[in-house]
Amino acid sequence: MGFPLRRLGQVAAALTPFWIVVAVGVRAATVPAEDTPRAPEALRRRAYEFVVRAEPRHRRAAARKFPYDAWSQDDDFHNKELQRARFFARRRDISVAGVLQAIDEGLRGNWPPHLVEPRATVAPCRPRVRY
Amino acid sequence: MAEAENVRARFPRRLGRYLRQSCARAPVRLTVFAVFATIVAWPLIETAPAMNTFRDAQYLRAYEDHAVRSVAEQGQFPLWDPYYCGGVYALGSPQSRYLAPTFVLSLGLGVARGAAVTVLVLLLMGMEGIYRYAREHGGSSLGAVAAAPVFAASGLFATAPMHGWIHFFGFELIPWALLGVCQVMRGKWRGALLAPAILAWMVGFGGTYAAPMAALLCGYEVVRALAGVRDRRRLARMGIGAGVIAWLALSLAAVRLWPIAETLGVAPRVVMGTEGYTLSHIGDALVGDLQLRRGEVLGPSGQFYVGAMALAVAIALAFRRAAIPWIVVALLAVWTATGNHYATSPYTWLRQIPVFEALRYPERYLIVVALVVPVLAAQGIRRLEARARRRAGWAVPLGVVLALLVANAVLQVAPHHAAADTRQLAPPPAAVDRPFAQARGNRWAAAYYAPMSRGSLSCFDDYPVPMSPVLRGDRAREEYLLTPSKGHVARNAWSPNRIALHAELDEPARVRINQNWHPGWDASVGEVVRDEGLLAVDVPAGTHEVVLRFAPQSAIGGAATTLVALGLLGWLGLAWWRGGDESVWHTLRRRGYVLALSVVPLMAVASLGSQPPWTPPSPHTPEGEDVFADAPPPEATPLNVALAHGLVLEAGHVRGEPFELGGTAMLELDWRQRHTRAPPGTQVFVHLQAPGGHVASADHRKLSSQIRLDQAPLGRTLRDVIEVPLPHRGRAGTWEVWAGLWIPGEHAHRLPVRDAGDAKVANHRIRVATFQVRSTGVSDAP
Repeated sequence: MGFPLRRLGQVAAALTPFWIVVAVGVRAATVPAEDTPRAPEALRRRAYEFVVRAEPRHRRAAARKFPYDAWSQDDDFHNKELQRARFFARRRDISVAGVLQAIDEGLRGNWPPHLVEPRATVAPCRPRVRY
Repeated sequence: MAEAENVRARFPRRLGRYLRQSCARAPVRLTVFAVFATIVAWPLIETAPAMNTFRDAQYLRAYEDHAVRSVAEQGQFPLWDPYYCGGVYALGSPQSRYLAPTFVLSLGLGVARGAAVTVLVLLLMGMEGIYRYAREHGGSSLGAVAAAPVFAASGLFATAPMHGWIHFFGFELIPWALLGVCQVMRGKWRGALLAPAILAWMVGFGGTYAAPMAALLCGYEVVRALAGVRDRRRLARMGIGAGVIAWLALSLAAVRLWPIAETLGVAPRVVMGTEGYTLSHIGDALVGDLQLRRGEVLGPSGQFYVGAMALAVAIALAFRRAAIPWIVVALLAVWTATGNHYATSPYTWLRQIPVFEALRYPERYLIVVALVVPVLAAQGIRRLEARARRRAGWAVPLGVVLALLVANAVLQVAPHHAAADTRQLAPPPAAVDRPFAQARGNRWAAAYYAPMSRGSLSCFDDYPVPMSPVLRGDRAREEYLLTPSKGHVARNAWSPNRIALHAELDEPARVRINQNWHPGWDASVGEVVRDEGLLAVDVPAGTHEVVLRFAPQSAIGGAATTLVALGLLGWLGLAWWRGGDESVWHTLRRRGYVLALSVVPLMAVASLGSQPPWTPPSPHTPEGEDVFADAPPPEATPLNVALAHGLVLEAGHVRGEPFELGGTAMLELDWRQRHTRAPPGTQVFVHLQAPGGHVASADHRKLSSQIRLDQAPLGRTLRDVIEVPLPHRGRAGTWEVWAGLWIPGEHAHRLPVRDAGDAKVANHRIRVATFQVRSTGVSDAP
C-alpha cells in the first residue's frame, strides 16, 4: 500500500521545478493592477486643450531641429506631446491614457481651442540612421 | 580514532559524489535553476501587470498585444496588424515575437504578465541549455550547474526587460541549438529534431540577432566537428546531418522567413547601430557594474556582464590543449565586438554576408563570451574533480572554484534587480470597447492605443514602413467613398484580417479604407487598388456586400511549408521514439528524399503568381506630388551629371521667382539611381552663393524631407523638393545654387562627379540653377 504513495511522492518531487514555475506564474497572474478610472468629459476637454495649445510651438521647434526631415519633425513633436500629456496627468486626476484618449476625441470631434489646427496626418515612418 | 580520521578524509569525496550525482539528476538541477530564475526575475513578476513606458517597450509590447487581440478577440491568426502605422504585415514585422510557444503565456495571462513569465521560463531554459551543452563538451555536472548562471543571467538579459526587448531572450535558446548540432555530429540523431525546432523558435520569437548568431555558431560547431575526421563515411553522415538540420530549420521557420524577407526586401532596415566597443569598453561590459539612470543604460559597463570571478575561473582552468578552440572562439567574439573601432575585425567581414549586414550592434557578439565561460569552467572543474578523487588536497582548489562561481551567480542577481527597478512603469490602460478607428497616435506611447480601440498612425520601427501619406487620424468613418455623391458605404463587420462593407452605389465608385495597402488584400466584389498608398476597392454600381480579406501569398506559402516541415519533424520523431538515434539515421538514409516535400507548398504558392508586386508607396513632395516619377518635370533644366555609384543628377530648377532677401526659394533636384543604391548615409548638400560669396547651406538627408537616397527605388526619377529659406542679409543680384552628394563621418567626402553632362561642375559641386534675388519687399509680379 505504501509503494504507490511513495511512487506518487517521487513523481511529485520530480515535478518540483514545474510547480515552482506554476506558482510564480500564478503570482504573476494575480498581482493586482492599478485601476485607472475614466475621467469626466470636462477634464478630458481641458486635457485636450492643454496639450493641443502647444502644438504649433512644438512643431516649429521640431522643424528647426530637423530641417528637411518630415518624420523626424513629427517624431520630435510627438515626444513633446507625450511629455505635455504626462505633465497634465501628473497635475490632475487623470491617467496618461486618459489624456491620449482625450487628444483622439478632440481631434475627431473638433474640440476647442479652434484657433489651433492640430494636424490629423503623420509623416510615414522613415527612421534616422542614428539617434 | 583512525576510523574517525578515515571518515573525515572520505567526506569530501562523498560530498563531491553526492553533489555531482544530484546535479546530474534533472529534477534536482531544474529545481535549483527554477529557484535561481525566480530570484532573478522576481521584480518583473511583482510588477507584472504594469506597463513599461520606455520607447522601445511601447511598440514592442504593442506588437504582441495586437497579436493577442487578433487571436483572443477576433479568433484570427495575426496576419495583419491594423493598430500600428496605419496597418502593417504583422507576420513580416521582424520584431514581433508571437510565433513562438511562449505566445500561449501572452494569450493566457495577458501581454505584460505573460512577458514576466516568459522571462522566467527562458531564464530556466537558458540555464538548462548551457548545462547540457557544457556536459556535451565534457563538462562536470557540478561545474555546469555552478556555471550555468554565467550565461543565462548575463548582463544582456538584465537590461533587456528594461528596454522591453523580451525577444532578446531568444539568445537563451542558443545552447539548445548548438547542443542539437553537436549531438548530430556525434551520431546522436535526436539532435536533428532539437536543433531545427529551436532555430525555428528563435526565428518566430522575433528580433534580428539571435537566430543569425545561432546559425553562425551552429556552422562553427559543424566545422569544428568535421575538422580532423578522416573516415569518409563518418564525414558523409555528419555532412548529411548538418544539411538535414539546415533544411528542416529553414522549412520550419518559413512561415516567418518568407514574410520577413518580403517586408525587408521592400524596406530594408536602416538604423546604423554603433561603431563597436574598444577593448577597454569590452572589459567594462563583461565585468563592470551596470550604470543606470531613469530607465536608461549609461555606457557599456555591465551590459554583457559575466562577472570577474567567473572569468577568472574560466581563464585559470583554460590552461590545457582542449580549451584552445574555446579560447579562440571567445577571442574572435571579443574582436568582432570591436566593430569598426580598430583597423578591421570579423564584424566588417560578416557585414558582407546578407542578413548579417543588417546586424549593426557588434558588441552583441559578446554573448558568445558568456557562452564560452561556463563551458571552460565546467570542463576545468571536471579535471579538478578527477584530481581530487586521486589526491584529497585538490578538493581545496575545487571548493574555491565552486565557491567563486556560486558567489558570481549571487552577484549576477543585482544587475537584474537594479535594471528592473529603474524601469519607468505606468498602470496598464483601461479598455474602451468601441468600433476600431485610426488615431493620429503617438509612437512614444504606442501601447496605449489598441486598448482604446484605436490604431496609432504615428509609429516607429527599424525600417521605413510602407505607409500612405494620406492616412488620417480624425475620420468619422474609416471606410468611405472617394466621391461621396456616388452612393453610400457602411461597415458591417470589422476584424484585423477581414472587413465587411455594405455598398449602395449609383455608379462605379472607389471605396477607400483608412489603412495601408498591401498586395495580400483581396475583395469579394470589385478590384483592390492602391490609392496614394491606401487600401481601396473599385466597386461596380449597384448594391453589394463587399468583403475584404487579407491572405498574402507569403503567409499561405510559408505556413504550408512550415506545416509540412512539422509533419516531417514528427515523422523523424516517431522513428526516434521507436528505435532511437540509429533508427533516425536509417530512416534518413532510406527515405531522406521525403524531406524535399517541404519545398512543394513553397513552389506551389510561388507559381500562382496572382499577387501584385509589393512596392513602397511614393512619398509626396511638399506640394503633394509624387517623389517617385518617370522623368523630371518639363520645366526642370536638364543637367545629366553622372556621379559615382551610378547616381545621376538628371535635372534641377528653382521655382517661384522673383525672390527676396528673407523669403524662401523652392528648389527641386531630380536624382536617379541607375543600377545600385547610394552608399548608406549619403546626403545631399546645397550651397547658395550670392555675388559676394557663400551665403547659406541647405544640406539634408532626405529627399523632399521624406526618404533617404539609399532607401529610394532604382530606375526612377527621385524628386527632391525643398524650401530653402533665404538669409535676410546678402547682396541682391544673381545667386547660384550648387549641389552634390556627400557622405559625412570620420572620412567625410563628396561623391565624385564622373561626367559633368550639361552642367558646370567644380570640386564635385554641380551648379544647378541661378535665380535673381531682390533686396526689398517690392514685387513687380502682376
